[in-house]
Parts: sequence; C-alpha cells; structure tokens
Amino acid sequence: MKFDLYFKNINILNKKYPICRIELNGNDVFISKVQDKLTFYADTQEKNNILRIHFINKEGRDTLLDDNNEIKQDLNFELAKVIIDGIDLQHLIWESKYVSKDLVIDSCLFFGPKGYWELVFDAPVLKWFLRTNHNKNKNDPTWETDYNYYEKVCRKLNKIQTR
Amino acid sequence: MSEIKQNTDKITEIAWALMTASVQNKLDIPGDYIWNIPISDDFNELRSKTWSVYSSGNCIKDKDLIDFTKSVQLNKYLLDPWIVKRFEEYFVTWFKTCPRFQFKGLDEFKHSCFAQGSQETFINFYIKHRERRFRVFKGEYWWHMECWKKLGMKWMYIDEDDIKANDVVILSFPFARLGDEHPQQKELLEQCERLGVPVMLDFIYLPNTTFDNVQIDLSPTCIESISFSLSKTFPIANARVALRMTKEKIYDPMQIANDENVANRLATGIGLECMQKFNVDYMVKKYHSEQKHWCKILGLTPTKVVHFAEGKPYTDIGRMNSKRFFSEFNDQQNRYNLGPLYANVKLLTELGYYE
Repeated sequence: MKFDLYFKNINILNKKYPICRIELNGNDVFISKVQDKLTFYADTQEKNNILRIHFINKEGRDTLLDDNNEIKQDLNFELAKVIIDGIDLQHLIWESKYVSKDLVIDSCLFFGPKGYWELVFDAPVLKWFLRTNHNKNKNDPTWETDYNYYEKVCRKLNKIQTR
Repeated sequence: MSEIKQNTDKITEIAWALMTASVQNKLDIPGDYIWNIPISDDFNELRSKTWSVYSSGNCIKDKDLIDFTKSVQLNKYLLDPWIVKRFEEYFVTWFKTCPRFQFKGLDEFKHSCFAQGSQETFINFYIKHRERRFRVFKGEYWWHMECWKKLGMKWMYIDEDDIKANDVVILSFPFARLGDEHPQQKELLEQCERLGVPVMLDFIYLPNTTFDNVQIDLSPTCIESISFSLSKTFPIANARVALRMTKEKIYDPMQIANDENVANRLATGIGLECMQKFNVDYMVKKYHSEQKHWCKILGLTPTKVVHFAEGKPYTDIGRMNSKRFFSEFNDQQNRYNLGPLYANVKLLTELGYYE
C-alpha cells in the first residue's frame, strides 16, 4: 500500500534537518530527512494498523531561547496531509495523537518535542475513512451501501480491459 | 396484472459501474456531458455522478451514428449559401417518410426557420411573448423555468392557476417527464383555443416515439409554432440543429438572421447529412426491443420514448431541490434515460448486467 505524507513549516536549525522514522505495526518502514513530501510503500493488515511517525533527532540544544526565555529558533515541523492508498484522510488526520515521553497530546500535528505521532486505521482505507467520518460527523448515512456498490463494481471492472 | 417490481439495487449498481468505468476509460461509448463524466476516481465524486446517470433527456449515443458524424466533411457547407434552405425543406420531407406520424394541419405551418437548438426557438418565443405570463405543466423541460426565473419573467405552473387570456403556453409532446402525451394535453389545448392563448408545441422527443400510429392535430388556431430538433434523435446535440415552423412568419431575431443567410451552415450541413443517411425512426427500430429488454431486467416501465423508462427514483438525492441537476426545476426523477445502457451494452454484458 502506498503512503504519501505531506509536511509543512519545516524549520531547520543551523543546517540541522529534522529526521523522521516511520513505523507501521511495529516495523520500521522508512527513515528520512523530513521533506515536503515523503512516499513509501508498506503492507497493512485488516484491522488496527498503527502508523507512527517518530521525530528522532530532536535534542535539547535544538531549541534556542532569547533573553526572555522565548523560543527564537527551533527544530520542528508539521504534518499537513496523509494519503494512504490514494485516499486523502483529510480531517481524519486529526483523529491521532502525539506522544512525547509521558505526555500524550490528542489531535496534534506539530512535531516539536522528540516523540511520535500516531494514527490507527483499518484497511481498506476508504471503508475506514467513510465509517470513521460518519461516526464522527453523522453526515453520511448511506456510506456503507455506497461503498459496497463501489467495491463490487471495482472488483468486476478489474477484469475488463481499458477501451 | 401483477405490478412490476423495480430492481433498484441493480439500477444503482449499474450507475456505479458506468461512472467507475467512465473514469477508468472502460465505457464502450464515453460520456460526452460534463455532468456525468467523473474527472477523478475520488469516491465522493463518483458517488455524486452516479445520481445523474439516468437523469438527462439526451440522445442515445449510437455507435453507427457517431461513426457517421465523424466521417462527414463539413467545411464545404461554409461556402454553400443554399444549405440552410435545403435543410429547412428536407426536414419536413424526412419527417413525413415515417408513416407512423400523421399530422393534421401541418401544411398550415408554411414558414420553416432553422434554429440553433430548440433553445433558440424558445428564446425567440420568450421575446415575442415577453409581456405575457408563461405557463407549463410541472415536469416540463426545466430550462424554461430556469430562464424565466433568472430573467424575472412572469410564469406559473398550469396546475397552480387557471389559464388566462394573457397567458402563453409551452407544451412538449411527448411530455418531457412522462415520455408520453400529457394526460391534460387535450383539455389544455381546448382551453387555449377558447381563450386565444398562443401555444408552442415542442416535438423534440417525437422522432424517438414508439407509437404505432400517432395522430397529431395541429389545426387549432392557438398553436402558433411548433419546434423540432435533432438533438434527442441523433448524437449531434452540440451542433445545435433544430427547426421552428410557424403559421405566420415571425420577424424575430432568429428569422431575421435566417433571412440574412447568416445561420449556422455547419449545423444545417450535419443535420441534413444525418437525415439523408438515417430514417426518422432509426433509433426506434434499432432500440425498441432493447427498451423492452432493459425494462424487464430492471423492473421499469417503458415509455413511448424509446430511450426512456418510468420508475421510482433510485436515489432520493435528485428529488432534493438543492441537489437537482443544473436546476431546482429539473424534476425528472421518475424518468430513466436508458441511452447509457444501450450505448454500453458490450461492457454491461461483460459485467453480467445484461442477460
């Protein structure tokens, strides 16, 4: 399954770039300097896939303070968008948490302290997306019927040649 | 007689199949209208397009006709000053070749005028009668009401008020939503005749009707003009090929342009060639059995228009005013356009929907 992660506001410090390690279901799948877009492929399971993006190279000295103890420079970045298997998770990326030592922050896309961002999802991602979206917003009562039509015709069309 | 049980599940699944196939470039004949062409395989976009698969009145995308239109050399018509006239004269001859249509009083409509689609005829009718109140039955072509509303013209549905002397009526035959004669057509025409209310009859679906024998009485004096079009008969809707016939010559912008001989020669050229090559009931002969077959498969009722069926809506979405396609007045949810099924029978057979 293809994963596209989009980041923004990537702040470097004295030529030091933030580095992330990406883990899926306990397995390391990717490690890279944080860039605007990272793409990788990984196998998923049907239920409870745990995607973690670890901010691995943040150290205490990567936060510079001014005379008033205000942060004047910092090594950090933000997660902007997640696309899994072609499905843009849109607002559902907020159904996640950021864990740093004993601190757990819900709905946090900001990578400040050393730690990791975590999202739990099921496959197929589209079905999970529609279900989760409806459970949260109660705005798509026909999602399951519609999904089943879509899934059924896609299976049939896979056997048909492009014209 | 047992009631036909509609197979809404299958109707919906086919709608999904056609829209998903469209975005995967797997249709036999690709869609040609933006409103039913998904531009991405995004689920929500596909879903919204499935709601309108059957909702249009558009022509059957017949492969033989499409191939023919591709072969027509049109440029020569730009230099042909007589092509519009030939089109206007041939149209009636062509129509009369079908013995199923019997017009009473057609000869009274001596003045033929090429129109760039029925819409141009309508616009000119609106201009001529701009001081009157326009009247239509609910389910009439939505474009009228959309235009009147946007232009601030006076109009009202026929069932909301009596016909008054200062009214003017537009009526499609067969009626747009039903694909058959409107049950109040006769009564309406009698009222208009009594009150001297001008009427335009819109025959856009007439060539595609399956009536064994249809008598069309054009003798009432209230019938001022009649409108024909090739848009629902041949896949040349975007060439805008239509004809208006009137008893009296009407000096409106459309007629003046025709008299000046600046009408669209490309449109009349392709229209004429299609008529010369294909009979007026080509579609009926080719697809009438398909209509019956699909209606049987899907539990729908055939209408008198060969590419329409009638049934319960397969989605409530189109019934919501805010979500009707193009217009709040597009109230056609009981009418199914079977054209996309006829045009994609190879694909639908491979997918197991067509037995």
